[in-house]
Amino acid sequence: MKGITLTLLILLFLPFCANAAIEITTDHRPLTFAVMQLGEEKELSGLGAYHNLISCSSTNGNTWYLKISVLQPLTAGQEAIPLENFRWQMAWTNGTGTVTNPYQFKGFSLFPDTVYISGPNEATGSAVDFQFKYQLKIPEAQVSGVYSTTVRFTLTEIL
Amino acid sequence: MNRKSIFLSLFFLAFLFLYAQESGALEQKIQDLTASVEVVPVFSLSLDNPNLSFGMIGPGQTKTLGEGYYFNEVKCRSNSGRNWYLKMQLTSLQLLGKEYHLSTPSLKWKVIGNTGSAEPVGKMRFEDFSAQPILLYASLGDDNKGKEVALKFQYQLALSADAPAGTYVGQIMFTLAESP
Repeated sequence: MKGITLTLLILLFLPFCANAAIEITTDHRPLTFAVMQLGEEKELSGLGAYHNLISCSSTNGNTWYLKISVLQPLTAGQEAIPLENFRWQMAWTNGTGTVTNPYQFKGFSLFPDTVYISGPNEATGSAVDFQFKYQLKIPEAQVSGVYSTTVRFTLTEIL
Repeated sequence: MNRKSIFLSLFFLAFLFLYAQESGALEQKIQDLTASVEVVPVFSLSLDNPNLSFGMIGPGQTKTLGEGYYFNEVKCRSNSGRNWYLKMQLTSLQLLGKEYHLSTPSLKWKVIGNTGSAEPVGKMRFEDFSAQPILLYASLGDDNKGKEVALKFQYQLALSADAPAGTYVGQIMFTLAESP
């Protein structure tokens, strides 16, 4: 009886010890545009290459999707910078899947935008890396202040 | 098989069932990064020509500066998000080289064109100067977000019959403030 109980307990806890099947990591580098003037446009691209490195991996064997969105427009109190003024670009990947907006800047959206669709053999554990750049243009008419938002990268098996 | 064994077996089966359901579920993970920017404040006023020089004018004559075009232009810009007000005041009007000052009603002003969300006072009609600052424009809408507002002026001097002939000059002052 005791043996049966112990076996059951072990079987109960085994699943929680298993490794996660999908993983996404970032370099944790915030998108800091610092101080900008009315009408100014700025690009975050490190030394001309990229600003953020994102890595995705999966062992599930399923197609996965990398998506990008913002939780709200760049906002300071009641004021917001129009979404279309804040843009992203996936500048490089070592992946062999489908890039949905090949190396073009696109305005951020509140709804996750698909950046990449994994290709065959990209759900067997090897990491696929992505480099991102960003652009921001301040309108000619924008109230002064500190604006912020959260950029969200989603790795999902859901289209 | 006693009750305890039955209970444990049922519990185990229930857990296995739930785990199987979970393993079949599609996965999703997220990573967040912060984005930020500071938009600098702007509060500026510029005037391309504050000096009114009417040249030689005789008694009973009227002369207009900027006739057919405009004489000077003032530009205002603020992105404070608060209302602002543009005021104008005549600070001097006199016969050049002499201690002879004209009364303020001798000089008139007119806004002959403007940008901005509101309507200025004195648009397309000559108005008298007064001893007090005149409220020309009260901001509206995008004027408070940094959109430049420009006003173009003409000035008219009507010399009375008993005033001496000569070259008359004047100086005006514009004030940009967040109080009316």
